Formats: sequence, structure tokens, C-alpha cells
Amino acid sequence: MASEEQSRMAQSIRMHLAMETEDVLGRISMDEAPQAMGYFYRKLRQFFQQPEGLGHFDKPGIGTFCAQVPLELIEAAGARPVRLCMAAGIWDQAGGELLPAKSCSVVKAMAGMAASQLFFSGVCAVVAPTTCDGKKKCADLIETMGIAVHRLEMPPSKLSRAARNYWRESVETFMAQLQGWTKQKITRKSLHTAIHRRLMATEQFRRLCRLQTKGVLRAVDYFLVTQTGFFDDVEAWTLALSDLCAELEARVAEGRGIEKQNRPRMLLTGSPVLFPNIKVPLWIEQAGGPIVTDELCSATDMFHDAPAYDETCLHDMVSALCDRYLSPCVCACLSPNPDRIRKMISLCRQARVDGVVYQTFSGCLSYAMERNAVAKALADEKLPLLYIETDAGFEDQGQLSTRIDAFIESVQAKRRNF
Amino acid sequence: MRKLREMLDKADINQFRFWTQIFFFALFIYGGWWALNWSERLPVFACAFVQDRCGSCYLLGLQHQMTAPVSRMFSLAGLGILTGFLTFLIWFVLLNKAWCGYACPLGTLQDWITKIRSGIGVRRSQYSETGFKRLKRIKYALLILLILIPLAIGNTIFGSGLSHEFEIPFCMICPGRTVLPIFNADFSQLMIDFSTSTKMILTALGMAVTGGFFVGAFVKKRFFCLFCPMSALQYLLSRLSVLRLVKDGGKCTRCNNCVQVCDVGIRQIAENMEKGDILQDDCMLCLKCVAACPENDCLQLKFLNIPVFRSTDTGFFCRMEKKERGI
Repeated sequence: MASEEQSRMAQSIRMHLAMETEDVLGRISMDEAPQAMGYFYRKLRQFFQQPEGLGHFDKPGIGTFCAQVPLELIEAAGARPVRLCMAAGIWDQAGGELLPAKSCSVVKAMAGMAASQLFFSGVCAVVAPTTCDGKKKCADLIETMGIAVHRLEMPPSKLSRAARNYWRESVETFMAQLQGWTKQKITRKSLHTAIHRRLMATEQFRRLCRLQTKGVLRAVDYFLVTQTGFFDDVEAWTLALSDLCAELEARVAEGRGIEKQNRPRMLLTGSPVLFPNIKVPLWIEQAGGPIVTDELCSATDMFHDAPAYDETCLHDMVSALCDRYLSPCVCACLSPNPDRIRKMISLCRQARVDGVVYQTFSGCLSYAMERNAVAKALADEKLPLLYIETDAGFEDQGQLSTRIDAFIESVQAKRRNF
Repeated sequence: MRKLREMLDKADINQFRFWTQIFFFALFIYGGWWALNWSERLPVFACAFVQDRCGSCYLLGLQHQMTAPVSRMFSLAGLGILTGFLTFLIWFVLLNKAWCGYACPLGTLQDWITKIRSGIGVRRSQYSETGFKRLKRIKYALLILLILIPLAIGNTIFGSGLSHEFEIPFCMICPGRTVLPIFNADFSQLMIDFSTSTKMILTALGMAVTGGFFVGAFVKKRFFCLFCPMSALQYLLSRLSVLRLVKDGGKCTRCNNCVQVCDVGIRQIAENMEKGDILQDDCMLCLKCVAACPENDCLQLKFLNIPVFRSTDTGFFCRMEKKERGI
């Protein structure tokens, strides 16, 4: 009986999810979308509307939380990483019955996703770095649903020697666990290939970021690209990305899109933009402020960095990966976290940013708590900041889009006065 | 000009270094064949015990000069010490610690041993961070000793002057003396001299250090350089050099790539976020860190304030792709 009810629930969630995806994609105007974006729209539709498609991966899928899981290791072990951080409103609702109402919508959505069992037919296990409390408890909850969970223990800081050693050991334990799951050994060669593939992806991602700073790609499209990178095969993603970059570069050469150059340039930071919850970038864009760069764990923080090593032996490559996933991490769960502000200011200077939008999900305490320090640092740089607290779902559209409109207008006015 | 810039940005620094090292090695070991003689005050271990050398190490001359009585050093004879030091300084100021990374034959030899090790698939061993800090101090102690011991010969510090057998104490234990002449087919330094007890002790110590040199170089990259008094002397003067390694902390994402590729594991380069000169005493300016840094202009090698080699996004990916093809 219970299972029948469960499957009915899953059915209904599935339908709602499909509708929600369609609704969100429908809000994006297709007029100026680059042709090459078609790949990403298609992939997202496929992923969210036919979740059982996950089971058709040629490799076993391994679900990951957050941006600190060394994806190269998963790929070298012959599996396919799928980052499960996604924030559909319907999952949020379903998760609301499992977790306190005050927990953040990403955590609730992930619990709801697990409860509806949509993706988990194709995912053989989940790796959860011990980042914030919400994610940790969410992993605990998922484990009670009978899903294999490995906790990738993360130190609370990244600066000390103890933290580095702890993380190294934690990653090595994870490697052993991975090889147990996939029954495939991580070799020098397979890891080298996996790292190389991710490097190529990083190279293309950075190319996209350069174009993004020129304001030729819409922020929504940019976040759809990064979101596709959560689950897509890395080589296919890289290829599609390079097509997109080539098309955008051609546009730049023709001088298209450049006319928008003197609009107020925005940086988005705070809690991650996770599909289908892309309303904030959508409204910022609609208000006339292109997002030229971001400091979000769903975009630059996840794809920007690349490991390097001198000798191609397994030990050194793993060591390089450990550093790549912990050291540049600027997640607010770290204490102290001086690099986040430093990174943001550097991004603001490089991309000549005019204003910063800081979004947090209600319940995402660590990001909310860092707000004042960030605001102060930005004030020193004479950069205005808009702080938004929101949830998955479009209910707060009226209120939020008005605030965003006003903010962008004020930034614009300030620019004109200069 | 832009073409040249691009070429430099994408340069394969490891390959460049490999060939430069071979060039200098040949010069310092066989340069005499072409009747070359550069200078007796070189800031590298171009060992004076090598027959066919083309120049020699400043430390040898320095130790000799220190054997004079202090009173004589402040007379006109002191001029010799001064000009010797100035010649050394001029050579040094040109290339800074790149002398270690690109020219020192003993360093080159260690890099070749490293190549053999990684070639047969043995992984390197690394220093623990605390151990590294402690070991670093040894080279300063050696530098002080190699000045103080010869001083005790011409001056009565211990009641009477020290025996002249202590004239070049560091050379006696330096692996450069025992190892480098081998490349001239001269094995005469590979022995323990039993003629006097002082000589016996010093040469025995020298042989022990030589053994340690080979074992250490096989296990760790540039093992001996950590104890090198020349490196200590160079670091004390490095601010005067026209060649500088500069970091712009604002551009650093703390990805730690620079530490990952560093032969001696200098952490400062990743952790120092202040803008400016970041050369450390164990650095040998091999520039692997600059090559491994994917942030534009974060790390730069500047000659007379002109960036010669700088970290770039494109250069980084270009080099990594080459590495992939290499395996």
C-alpha cells in the first residue's frame, strides 16, 4: 500500500517537475539565443523530463553534493558524476515534509528529490562532502531511504596543515570506496585521462567566461550551460561549449551584442543558482543588467580551477586534485574564509563590475552571515550591493523583481552621473 | 612584438631549462677544452677541483681569503676580498637564483637523478612542513662556519691558529669536489686521505656527504640544495638582483598549483597574498610555478622590471595539453 502511494507521489512529482522545467525554459526568450544553446536546452529538458534516462548512462552514475567532490576520480574509476544540487519548487515542497521548514530550499529540494526516487534508479551511490549542516543532515536523511552514501569528510578550514592532511586522507578513503563501488581500479593512466578531459572543459569554460565579461551571453543561458555541466558527459559538454564559444566569438566579431556594453554590469554571488531556480539571473537580465561574472559554487567556483602536477604518478595527481578541490574553495561553510572576498574583489576589478547582487536562500545561514563582511569590503571598493533572500519557486516575483529593477536603475543613474 | 610575447607565454619552460642546464654543465665541466675561463668568482658550484672547468665557485676563493689575519683584511689586501665579492655580486645580480636552477652543475646532476627516478616509476618523497622549516636553517649555519673556520687559521681565536688543513672546510665536505671531477675521468677525490687525522676526518665526512648526496637526490628532488651555503649567501643578496619573481596576490585563487609543481615544496608562494617579491631562500627560479599558474599575470619573472615570463591562462592549457600528449 505504502509503495503504491509512493509511486503515485513519484508520478505526480514527475509531472510537476516536467511542467516546472517547461515553465522556466518558456520564460527564456528564444529570440537572441545562440543556435549552439540548443544543445543545452535539449539536455536539460531530457534530464528533468525523462529522469529515468539517467539509467541509460553508459556508465554507472554517482551522485555528488556540492562542488568539492573530485570529479576526476569518479571518472577515472569508470563512473559518471551527477551533481544532485538542483532546486525544483516541487521537490522543495516534497522535502518540506521531511525537513524543518526553516532549512534552505536546496537541501529540502534534494531530500524531496531522493524521496521521489526519480534520479536514483540511475545513481548507484551518493558522495556528500561534509560542508554545511543542511547538506550533512540531508545526506543522513537520504541514507535512511536506502541509498548508499559516502561522506567525503571536509575540514572546517583549508588553511592549516592539519586541514590539508585530513582532507588528503579523506580523499584517499573516498578513492578506495569508489573503486569498491565500480570494481574498477583508478590507474595512473585513467586518472591522467580524466584530469585531461576536465582540463579541456575548464579551458572552454574560461573561454565562455571571457565572452560573458563582454556581455554577449545572457546570464540565464550561462547558468543553463553550467547546470548542464552538472550531469552531462564531460567530453560532450566541452564540445558543445566550444561550439557555443565559437558562435559567440563570431557575434563579437560582427559587433553584435556589443551595443549592450554600457548597461550596468552585475556580479552575482551567494547561494548557488540551481536549475530550475534561475529566477534571480532572469530578473536581473530582464531589468537590463547583464551578469558579467559570478562567485557561485554552481558556476565559476565549480569550473574555473585546474590542477597541475610535475610528475605523472598517481600519488602526485591525487595530491594535485586534493588541492584543486579544497584550496581554492570559497564556500561560506569554511572558517575563516578570507578568499571569498578577495576573489570577489578581484572578479569585480577584472570584469569592471558596477554592482553586486547577493542572493541567499532562506535557511542558508552561512551565506547570510557572511553578508555584512562582504558588504563592507564592497563598500570600500565603492560598489553597491543588493541583498536578496529568496526560495525556489516564482511566488515572490512581484516583490523581488521590483527591488532588482530599482537597484539596477540606481546603479545606472550613478554611472550616468560619473 | 606581440608574436614574441605569445611565444614566451606558451614557452615550455621545462624543456628550455633542460637544454640550458646541459649547456652550462658542459661549460663548467669541459669549458677548459676551448680555453675558456670565465671567472673565479661564479655564484655556482663550478668546482675548482674539475681539471677542465671554465670558471670556479666563489666559495672556494672566499674561504681562502678568510684565512688572512683580520689586520691584513683591513689593509690594502682587503681590496682583493672586496673586488672578489663585487665580481661575485655582479655575476649574481644578473641571474639571481636562476644560477641554481639553470646553471649549477651539482643541481643539474640532481635533476638528472630525479629524471632517472621518475623514469623508473618511483615516486618522490616530500618533506613534512615542520621538518622543512627546521632543515632550512642548516645552510645558514654552514655559511657562517665556512667563514669562521678559515678565520680561525690566520687569527688566534682558540689560543693558537687553527691548522692550515682547515683552509677550505666546506670544499672538503662538498659533494661538488668529489663528484664533479668524475666527469673529467678524475676519480682522485673519491678517497679518504689518511695522511693526517684532520684530513682523514674531513675527507671521510666528504665521502659520507657524497653518499648522502646520491641517496638524497634519488629520494627527494634537489635534496642537497636545501643545505647549500651558496643558496644562503644568494638569498641574503637576492633583493639586489635585477631578476625578480613577483606575485600579484589579488589574482591568486589559491589553487596551490605552484606548490604542487615546486621541486622543494615552497608553500609561501601559494600562501603569500601580498603583492610583491616572493623569492624564498630555497627557490632556484626554475619557474615551474609560473608555468603551472593558470591566472593571467599572477606570477611574473621580471628582468629590470620588464616581464620576461609570466603566468597566463593560454600558456597553462597549452603546456598541459603537451603533457597529455607526452604520456
